[in-house]
Amino acid sequence: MPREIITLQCGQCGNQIGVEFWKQLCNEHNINPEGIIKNNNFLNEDRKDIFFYQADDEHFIPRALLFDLEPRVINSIQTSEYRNLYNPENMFISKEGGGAGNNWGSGYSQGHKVEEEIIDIIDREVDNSDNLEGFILSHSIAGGTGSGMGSYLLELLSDNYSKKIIQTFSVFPLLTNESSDVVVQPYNSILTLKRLILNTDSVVVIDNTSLNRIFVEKLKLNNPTFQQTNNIISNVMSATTTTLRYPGSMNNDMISLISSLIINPKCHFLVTSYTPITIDKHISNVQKTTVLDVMKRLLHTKNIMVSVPVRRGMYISILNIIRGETDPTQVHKGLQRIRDRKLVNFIKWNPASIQVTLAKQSPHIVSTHKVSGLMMANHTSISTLFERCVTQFDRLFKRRAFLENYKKEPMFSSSDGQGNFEEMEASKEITQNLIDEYKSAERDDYFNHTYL
Amino acid sequence: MTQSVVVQVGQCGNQIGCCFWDLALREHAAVNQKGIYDEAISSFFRNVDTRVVGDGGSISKGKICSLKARAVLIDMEEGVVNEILQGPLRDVFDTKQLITDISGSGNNWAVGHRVFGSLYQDQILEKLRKSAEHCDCLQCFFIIHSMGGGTGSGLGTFLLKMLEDEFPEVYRFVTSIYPSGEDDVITSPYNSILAMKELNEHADCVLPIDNQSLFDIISKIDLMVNSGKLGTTVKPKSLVTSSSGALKTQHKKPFDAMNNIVANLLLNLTSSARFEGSLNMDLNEISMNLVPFPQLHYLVSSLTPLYTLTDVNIPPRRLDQMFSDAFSKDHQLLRADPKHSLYLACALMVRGNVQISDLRRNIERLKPSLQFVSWNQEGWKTSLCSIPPVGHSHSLLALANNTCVKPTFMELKERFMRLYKKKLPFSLVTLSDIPIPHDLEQGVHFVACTRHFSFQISGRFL
Repeated sequence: MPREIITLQCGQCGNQIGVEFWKQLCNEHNINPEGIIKNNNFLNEDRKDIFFYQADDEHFIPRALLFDLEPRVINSIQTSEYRNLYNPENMFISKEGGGAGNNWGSGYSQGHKVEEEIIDIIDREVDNSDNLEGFILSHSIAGGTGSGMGSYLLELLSDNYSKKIIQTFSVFPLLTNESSDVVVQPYNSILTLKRLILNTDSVVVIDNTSLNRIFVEKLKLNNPTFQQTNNIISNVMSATTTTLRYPGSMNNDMISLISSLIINPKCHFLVTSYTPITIDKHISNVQKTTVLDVMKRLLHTKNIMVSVPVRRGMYISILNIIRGETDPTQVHKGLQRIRDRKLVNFIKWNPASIQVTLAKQSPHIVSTHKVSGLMMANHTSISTLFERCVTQFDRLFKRRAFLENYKKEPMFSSSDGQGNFEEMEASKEITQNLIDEYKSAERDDYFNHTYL
Repeated sequence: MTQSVVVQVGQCGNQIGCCFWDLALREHAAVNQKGIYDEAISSFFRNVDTRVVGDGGSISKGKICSLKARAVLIDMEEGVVNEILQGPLRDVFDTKQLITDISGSGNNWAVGHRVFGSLYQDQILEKLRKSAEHCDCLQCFFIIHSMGGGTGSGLGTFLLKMLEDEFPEVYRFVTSIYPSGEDDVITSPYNSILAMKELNEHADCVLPIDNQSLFDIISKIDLMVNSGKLGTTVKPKSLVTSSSGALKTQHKKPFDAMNNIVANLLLNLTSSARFEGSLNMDLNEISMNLVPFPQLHYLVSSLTPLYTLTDVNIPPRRLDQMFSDAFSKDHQLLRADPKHSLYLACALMVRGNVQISDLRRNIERLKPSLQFVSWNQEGWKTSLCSIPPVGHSHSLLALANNTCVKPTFMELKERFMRLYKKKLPFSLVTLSDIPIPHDLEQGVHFVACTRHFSFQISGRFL
């Protein structure tokens, strides 16, 4: 019984990584850019119908919804190689075409204005599926559309489809003390974090800083393009869905993936790690790829795609998805070794160990490595990422800087013109609560406190 | 996609505007090979079927028939506008978009603002409304004018209030040419200060530009070219500094090259909003990210490169050089010293084949030499546009909201006070029939404002 998944991509970042994701999926399932299977020799060992549906004329169409408030990115998709792949009815561009201008409030209110249309589009796609399992949203949290309209979409989905799983791939901004890509990113991030905390079931955190670092250190490429960075993100995104599309003995649907990783519904932010990372012809210096090597490498700080100090803090849960030619006994030995060497620091209040799933590799992708692996983990040090967000937010908010444009939006406007920023303060409160939650999860007596 | 309307006021404004339209056409011609009217062109031009009598039916898609600029040309004397209409760009402008008078404002802000303002208010409003109706989604008005004259400063700033009332949702970007110290117009300090008050209150974002800096840049380039130091690596006639390849005839007017630089500034500012790229930046994001408080909206701009290099395969070191140049005083369009003042925010708009990692690496490299305010240490905004400007492989525009504009305005204030104390030159000023002393009183009020303004900057952020 197929459990379908609908993906939504919102904003420039969301659409750009979404496009790479679908490209990767098409490659894995041997679908050409027109949506037609290249040669039908392989039987239905894979479950394309989770992400694609078949139209009357043999075309495979992605269950994808594209949203943006300005036309350029979606237009470039419509003129690219993959233009005939997507269902044109699933592309939504705002009529005003002005974009959200890096303003969360503008993205949110523009989403609200076109509520009817958006619900129509989502409903149509939902009706198209027999047994919908959930939604995946890809977006960034620092800009205007991805964060503002994305937040609105999350609220809409959790209100209208409360029984379905909602997962997001959220791109967090550069949070160093040196530079940023958007000046008002603290405001946009904190406002979106509230929705990520309250309205989603799991969030896979993707971090621009660490991706850059991985390129420079592992691949020795000094100036990665956005195309290459998005390529890595798409590898991770497709690897997280491997067990759904190539069903094996366990973890064949989203709910089982999530339930093995997320113990406390609040702490649902996941870090990922992927090895080996290859981009086109650049191959990082990985020689030996046994299961043990792959699992050890996945635990290296340098491979983790979020810049948090994994040496401090503890793992709440880990799931490894290993693809390739593997032997189940190897897995057992690998886990034993890791436990003996105490390479992983787990929390004490739950019997925890690394869960491993073996997944089949796509027969259509030629890989130079025998074994590749993805790690999805729930680690308490992710709270440091949120702490940085809150610090930057505090600094700007104390001075009430850059708030003029937010005041123009209905959510922040007030009759006296001073602006009503309760929403921002509430969001910050909720984020701070989450940080405290993660911190207390590191304590041994966590279960003795009331949580939830 | 959004559209913008350019309003050029006064002699200076119209001359710069003319250069701007020339360069804009050339840029779109280079990018748009197929001659299809697409959204990038629609941001500044309308596609009109000139065979249709009357308003000229607008065509929204398909092949380009005849492009009309989304512009309103205003001048109180006919010379400059007539020259434009007889020049090669005459077909680009709609004759219904012009407002001219005969006598001129006589370098008097009050005449421009009060006399001509009230006389032409309805006409101007009508033309602006017409331009706005032609747009599907009007996002921004670009106003180009000078501060030292009469029409540009007086009528130009009168426009601002009108635009704010009539189109409150549309952004008002003002490119103001400030008078240099050796300006030959005696009343320029008065005109500038009076205009500043209006800019303070009614503009969303101001790009102050200084004649002296433009002149310095041009002389530096001439020096480089003539000394032959760089030899074959410099193409002297780049699009930035001359209009070679343009439709104009070759007799060079003195301000040609300087106007070209300002026109390039406007093109680069809007490039990320018109063309695609991996990190787009619309015009509304400029004021969102660079203006922390409504009154502090003066952005210092600097533009690189200013001449082309024949070496196409630019190795990273040359690329880094571009970033260093953008933060050096030689490439700034305003005489100020940002490195010794506080940055409130800074935007880097890159065009061409540059990657995000190049940007980030350079920001990290340059950051230690720049001082940001304590509450916005990482106040950078970046954007990448994949289409490079004509003749270059990449370019960079840096917009900085920096407290270094304070000394520039203080200097202007000094010049004003020097004249005002001696009540000079009242004889020139009392020629018009409005109570001038009242306006000068307003000017003194503005002087108090600048003091408050500079106090605001220093008190709040240090």
